[in-house]
Amino acid sequence: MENLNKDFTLVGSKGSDSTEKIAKPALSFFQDAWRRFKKNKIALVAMWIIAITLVFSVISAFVVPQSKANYFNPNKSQVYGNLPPKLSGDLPFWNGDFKAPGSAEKTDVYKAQGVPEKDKYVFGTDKYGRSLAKRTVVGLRISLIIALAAALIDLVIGVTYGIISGWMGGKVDMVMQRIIEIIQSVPNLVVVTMLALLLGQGISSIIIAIGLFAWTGMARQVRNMVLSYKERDFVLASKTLGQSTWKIAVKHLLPNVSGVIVVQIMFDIPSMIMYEAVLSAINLGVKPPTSSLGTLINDGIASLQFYPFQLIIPAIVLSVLSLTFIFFGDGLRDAFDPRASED
Amino acid sequence: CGSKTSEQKNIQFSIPTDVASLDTTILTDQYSYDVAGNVEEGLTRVDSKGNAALALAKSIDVSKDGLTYTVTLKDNLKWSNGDKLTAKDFVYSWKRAVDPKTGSEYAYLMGAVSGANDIISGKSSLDTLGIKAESDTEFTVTLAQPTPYFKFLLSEPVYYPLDQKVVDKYGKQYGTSSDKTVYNGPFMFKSDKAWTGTNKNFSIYANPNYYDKSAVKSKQIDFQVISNANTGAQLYKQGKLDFTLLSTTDLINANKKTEGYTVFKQARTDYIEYNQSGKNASSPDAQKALANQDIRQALNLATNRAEVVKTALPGSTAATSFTPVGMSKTSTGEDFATYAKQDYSYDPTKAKELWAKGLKELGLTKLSLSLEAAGDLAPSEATANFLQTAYQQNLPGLTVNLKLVPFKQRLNDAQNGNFDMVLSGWGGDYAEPSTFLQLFTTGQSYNDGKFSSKTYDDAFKAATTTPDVLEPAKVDEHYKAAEAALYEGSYINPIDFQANPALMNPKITGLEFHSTGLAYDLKSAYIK
Repeated sequence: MENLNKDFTLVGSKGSDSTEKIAKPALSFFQDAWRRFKKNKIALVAMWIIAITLVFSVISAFVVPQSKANYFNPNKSQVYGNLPPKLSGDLPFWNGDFKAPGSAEKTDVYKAQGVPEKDKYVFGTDKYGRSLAKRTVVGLRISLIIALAAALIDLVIGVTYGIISGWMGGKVDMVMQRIIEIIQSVPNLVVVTMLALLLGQGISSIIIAIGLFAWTGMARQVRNMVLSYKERDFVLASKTLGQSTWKIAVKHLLPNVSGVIVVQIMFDIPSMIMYEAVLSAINLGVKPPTSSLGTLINDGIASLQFYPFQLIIPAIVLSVLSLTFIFFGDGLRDAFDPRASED
Repeated sequence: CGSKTSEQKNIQFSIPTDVASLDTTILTDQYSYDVAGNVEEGLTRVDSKGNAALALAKSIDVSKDGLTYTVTLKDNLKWSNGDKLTAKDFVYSWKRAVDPKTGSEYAYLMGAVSGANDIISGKSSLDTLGIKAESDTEFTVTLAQPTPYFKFLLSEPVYYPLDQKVVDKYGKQYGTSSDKTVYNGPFMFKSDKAWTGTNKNFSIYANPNYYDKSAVKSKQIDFQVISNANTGAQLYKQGKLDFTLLSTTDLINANKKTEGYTVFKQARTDYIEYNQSGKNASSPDAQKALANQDIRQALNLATNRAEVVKTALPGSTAATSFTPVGMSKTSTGEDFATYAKQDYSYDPTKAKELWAKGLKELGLTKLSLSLEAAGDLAPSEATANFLQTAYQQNLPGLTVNLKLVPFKQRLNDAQNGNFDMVLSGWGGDYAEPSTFLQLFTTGQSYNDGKFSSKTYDDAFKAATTTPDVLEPAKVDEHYKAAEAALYEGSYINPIDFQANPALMNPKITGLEFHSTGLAYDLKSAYIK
């Protein structure tokens, strides 16, 4: 024993105090998540795009009100109708030259239709002569409003339902989960159609329609998390100390499942934006002449062969918006739950 | 594709919707008619000059008072199954058409025949119908009123004969597929490429039992149901189709220079009806407003018809009356619509004035009206979208709520009077103004706005009853007075006279287009 101790000496151990010392600054859960999130460059870019889009949409409400986007001059729809995108006449492209349907060569459509020199449409116009740029801005805003409102419903109903179901367990849980299954098994397009008949077309009926179904996924996720967390020791400890159920739910369970909630919302939002587009495409969406990304795309499909820009522009906006939310959600998931990601 | 064995190429014809029925008593839609009208025939057939030429009839003698028609059939007429076609087939078919049990929507066209209206409404028995077979080849028809255009009516499907043996055999199933139907027209169906009731590809063949078979130039004509007009245009350009309708503005503009671009002027008017029934409007204010003539006139004056046509319906023309151009002629040979032209003009300044005046009378400062249109028909959707903005800009204080619904619901809502303004359309059945003007007599079922104008009713009555009905010049005058009454009262808002731009292989010869009745007569059509 003595010989052995001679060969090996304990290094760095200078007393019990030093072993207790934490060298790194203590990071809270969210600080740690943010540190991990920053490493994911794509998610970071997505976050910035979302932030800019949100700010842009809020400001645009004052600059481009709906009435401006719906405006066209009924006496001059032949002059302003179906104009291609034009930024400036001096550019080699994006200059208003376009192969009009039926003609073999590219011509300056602006000149051909007699549009005054000063008028330019960055994204072109639709068949009535409405500016597609303004309509896309309004469409983006409306799609975002629908998505955020539906997300709020998702949050309130879904999270509450999930926590109650998971916490109560047993028979209550059984019944509540069966109710979710029933809701999920009803073809929601049928219900939405009936709802549109009942409430008429419009933003509010779309939000209600989406809100009716979208929360089920969230409720399931939260319930699963709560089921496992409620068996943990810290919950047992608070119970033993006499903490009320309500406080346990809000103070101990909610922070622990918040990661899942945020991620779930980020994945739900793009699907809600898409769902709005689908509803608009089958005439159940917003009331004309209001534009949403869905109605713009639907109108664009009809003229895809002839004026592709009328479809491509709103389609790109919709895709980019959905994609950024998905990347952002992906980044958040990795950040909140490091075990789920590779690193 | 055309069959390669025969030397002559078959015409590849397309229609945009499925054929609903081949039963000539029951069918109501244009495209069923386009097929049935080529495989069946009546006593007359409208010829290339627009006259009702004799077809199955050898002669039709009209009595001096215009009330009795004596019809002699051609000799040796036969059905495609070999049965003899006799006067009895007409008696049977006409009685079947007016029988309330049959439920023919077009039975009202038989109203010209004496006793028909009472039978249709169930008041009297079938035997009181004014048709009597004198022999196998001769029958007499008694009319309720002298009807100068009766020979045109005789070319309508509901007046076609039916082979009782076959109809009895299949009962309700008659006409639901091509093997449950019998033919007497220039063409017929065979078991090869038959119409099963749902299929999208079928063919008709020259009928060997047809009395005028030497005039039928095509051995076979292939039909395809192509609901997407873009697909139709593509197939046409690939040479796989010889005829296709162009239905959207973009498609029409893109194909204006394509070889074979043709515009078929239909006898069809699109118009807005105003709910004047005093009920079922969207709000009590809307109700009151639409009953006000100034408001209606303001809406009419705020309608920029020329721009609507350019934006939504290229090829069509702005309406100047309810009866469309190119359908019928006056006694002097002038086009009736040109003769009866009204001043439906676009005058936003006057519209604003009248609008303000109307609102003041009603004690309103703003007003919401709904505008209903069929969202599944591209031209009507575009028209409604255009008018919504145009009205809101021209008439201060007006909000137009657009209601885009499926075509069938639009029909339903219009029939039930469930609308404020509805974009409707009407196609003529025969080449005489009454096919349009009868619509708005008080209480008529297609008078969806439920308005009542005594001037209009009187003018229409004078034109269609003795003594003036027998004097063509006076008939024209009365019809013109009816058009004037429609305009003066602003009861409806005619938008456009519809046209059908289409792509048709220039090599097709002999295809006859009619603005009323059978639109595409293929009897002597063939590919050169």
